[in-house]
Amino acid sequence: MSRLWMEARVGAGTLCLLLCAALWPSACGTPRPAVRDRPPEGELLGGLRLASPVQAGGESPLRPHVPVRRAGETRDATVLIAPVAASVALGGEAGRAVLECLTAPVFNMGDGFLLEISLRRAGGRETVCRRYYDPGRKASDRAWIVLDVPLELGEGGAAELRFELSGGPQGDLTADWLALASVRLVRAAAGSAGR
Amino acid sequence: MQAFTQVPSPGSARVRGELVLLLLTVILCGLPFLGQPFHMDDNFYMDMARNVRVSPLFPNDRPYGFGGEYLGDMASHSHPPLVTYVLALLQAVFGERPGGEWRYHAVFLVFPVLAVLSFYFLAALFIERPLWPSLMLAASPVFQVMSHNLMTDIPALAFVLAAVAAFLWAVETGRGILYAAAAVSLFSAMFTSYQAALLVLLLAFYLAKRGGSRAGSAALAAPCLAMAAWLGANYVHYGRFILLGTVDYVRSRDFASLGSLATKFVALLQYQGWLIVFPLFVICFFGRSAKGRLAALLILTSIYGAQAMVPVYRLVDKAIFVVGAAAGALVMLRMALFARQAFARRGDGTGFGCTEGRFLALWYFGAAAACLSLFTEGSARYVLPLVPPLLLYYFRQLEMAEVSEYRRAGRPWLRAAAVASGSVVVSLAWGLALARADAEFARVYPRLARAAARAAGGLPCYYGGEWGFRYYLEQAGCRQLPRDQSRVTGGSFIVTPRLAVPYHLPADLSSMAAPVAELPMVPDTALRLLGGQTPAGFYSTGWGLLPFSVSGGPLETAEIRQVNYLVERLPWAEVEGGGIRPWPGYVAIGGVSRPAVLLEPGTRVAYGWELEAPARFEVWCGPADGAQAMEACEFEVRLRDGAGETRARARAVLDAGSSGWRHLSLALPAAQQGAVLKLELRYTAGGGRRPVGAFADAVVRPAGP
Repeated sequence: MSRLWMEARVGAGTLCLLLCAALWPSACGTPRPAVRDRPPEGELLGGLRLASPVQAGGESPLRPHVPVRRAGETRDATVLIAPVAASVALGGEAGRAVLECLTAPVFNMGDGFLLEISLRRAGGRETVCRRYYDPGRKASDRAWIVLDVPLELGEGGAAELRFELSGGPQGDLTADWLALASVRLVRAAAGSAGR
Repeated sequence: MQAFTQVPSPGSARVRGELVLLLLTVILCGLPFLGQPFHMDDNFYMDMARNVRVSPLFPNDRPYGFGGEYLGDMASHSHPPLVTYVLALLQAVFGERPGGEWRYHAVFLVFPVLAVLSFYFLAALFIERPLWPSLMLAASPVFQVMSHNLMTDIPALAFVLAAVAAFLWAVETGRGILYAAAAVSLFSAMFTSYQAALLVLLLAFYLAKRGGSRAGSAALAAPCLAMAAWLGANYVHYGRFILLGTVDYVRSRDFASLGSLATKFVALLQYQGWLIVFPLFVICFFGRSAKGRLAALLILTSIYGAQAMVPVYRLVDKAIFVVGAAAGALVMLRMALFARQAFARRGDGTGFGCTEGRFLALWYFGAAAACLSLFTEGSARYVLPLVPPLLLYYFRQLEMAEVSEYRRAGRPWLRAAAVASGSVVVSLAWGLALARADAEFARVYPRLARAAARAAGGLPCYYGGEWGFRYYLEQAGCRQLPRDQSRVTGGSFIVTPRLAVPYHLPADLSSMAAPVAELPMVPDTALRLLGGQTPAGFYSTGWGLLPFSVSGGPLETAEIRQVNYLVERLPWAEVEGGGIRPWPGYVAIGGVSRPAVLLEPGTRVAYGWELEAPARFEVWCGPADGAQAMEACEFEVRLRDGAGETRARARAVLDAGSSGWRHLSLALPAAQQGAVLKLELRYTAGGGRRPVGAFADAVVRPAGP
């Protein structure tokens, strides 16, 4: 009886070991931390996530988590499709800060498009960045482009950044897609004015 | 229990005769396929083998792009490099000339031969006539199809069977040389396929049940230590534990979700139903229980299952599904009953000894569990490790049935002997048919590569696909789509397959490319092992749940696109006149959107002409909105040399009020080193409306003979 019981245990134990070994990958390993492209020059205040504008029917002009490859570098990006305006709340930060992000036109077609970033506070609206992307005609726009925007947040309080994407001078909206990656807010280091 | 009356020595005439028969079977089945082109993942191992000359200790240490993903090294690939080393040796001896595949396949026949002969000796421990399961292994479709490539599956199976046979006979006879052979084979199996490490547990179980021995423990420990040492050396070299990368990859593929497990389980049934023993015999023999009611019940359940799981399949595919599911379910059910009997109190009634029965049950269900849990999807080749225990059980049951049939008054219409011989003969024919379908599948890619190379005609050509597609396009002079897509310049061709893991083109490159040709490939057989507008998924359930299907349509279709020269090179072009600098956009020609360069009237654009092969330049011209030209307008394409002399010219004039697109074509010489050639576009229009003009769908074709 005891011998039979022992044999059964050995058999069951071996099968369990086989199953455990087979299932091992599902029970181990830790997710890898996201890799930042470069360390912030000041204190990192946090990553920013753009709020999707309300869209009545049709496809959303803001698409999160799109893998975009430019010049061999693939990044998880939020894609803005012109014409679009999207905003992000700044959470009561005060003082000087820098909005850091990587931008890339998704396609190489069209007459280009304009990105305008404005800071909206109770006091009014201030345009903090205007950049025209023209990947169809400008080779240097066919890559990931670093965008560092210095911000003067004042005393703090409710504020939001607004990203607006509009068509090019010929009014052609073809392929006017912009990818935004690694969007974050960094407290400006002393003497830094951003790039 | 020791079924064979004595150790099956090769000196015995009977054993020698049977071994010769097995050897001839494997070689004769392999001969027609020696010339099979390199297929599926053969190319990966060939690539790594080339790297042995650069990095002999760590052949997977090279940057590699696969499926459109680009990695710094392939150390975490799912297989260690034994097969890579074998291929490196063959590359050094034979080279890699076109048409030389037969040499590689001839040498690789050593693995199916080793597998079948090892299985013969293993089977001799379990059943009275080891020839039958060994012949069946050689004849089984999954074994035949996988015997004709350079992948790791058959080598791993061969080493596994050699290790098990040597180890079990070593335990039975106590011969040290067999323990040594077992240790070497076990290490070879593990160095071919990581999952062979599970075999150590199985053999340890057998050893423990047989009372254990120091030599046996050493034979199991030595290969593990050798593998640990190899992994340690890799850790030092790469600075990471390479298996973690493998695990990460498997985890990233959603391998353990309920849907994925269900898919793999259904595929496991299908592969067992169709690809080991021909299903007619499985259903006839295993379905005899309860006077055939069990088989009938399983067929009925499979019909409902087909309607529930694959309602969109064609009727013929549903029929394949039903037969495969019913036969596979019968196999698994009988193996489950066998395992239950084997692990019952006395473990008898199985036809095997107590330990042997439990050993086989653990082997079968361990391999089945690995199929479900270790792999990211189902594949017929993954079931190879469970074929040996299944065949041993199947033929042992036939041996027992043969004896009991003589004692019965009423004999079944298909007797055990007929089932045994029928299983081998019909499965052999079926296996050869599937192996031919696989060979035809492989032959598609050299043909496709030749056609693509002809279409590119010396102009830059890139490919975005895997398997034989990659190998033969590379051989034809095409290059892999680079990680940095900005290196793919205007005028380059990009060839992508529909079936062979097409790369996803980055959006920027895709936005500038337009299709120029399609190459559909129809093989010389209606049997399909993978895709080709059917749910055949022999190599992966990613394409469908069936082990095979039938179709008369193309198996593979390659699409050739060209990066528009005018659009891609526009940032570097010189522009004169006009108000706004020309820009790239799309126009509709014949209802199809085509990339174009758009110009205001009075604009001249001059491109540097840099293609190093003579070519024909073709372009469509007209008002960008496709409407009637209100005023007369003129489009001109001209090639000038460095002295400003015109070398080629074509122009189109649209009279006032005329409409439609005009086609321009001109022959262009190859750009010589140091010489300056300029390709000029001019657009002029009179009157006040001044519509935007378009040079659309420009294609650079290789110059004809």
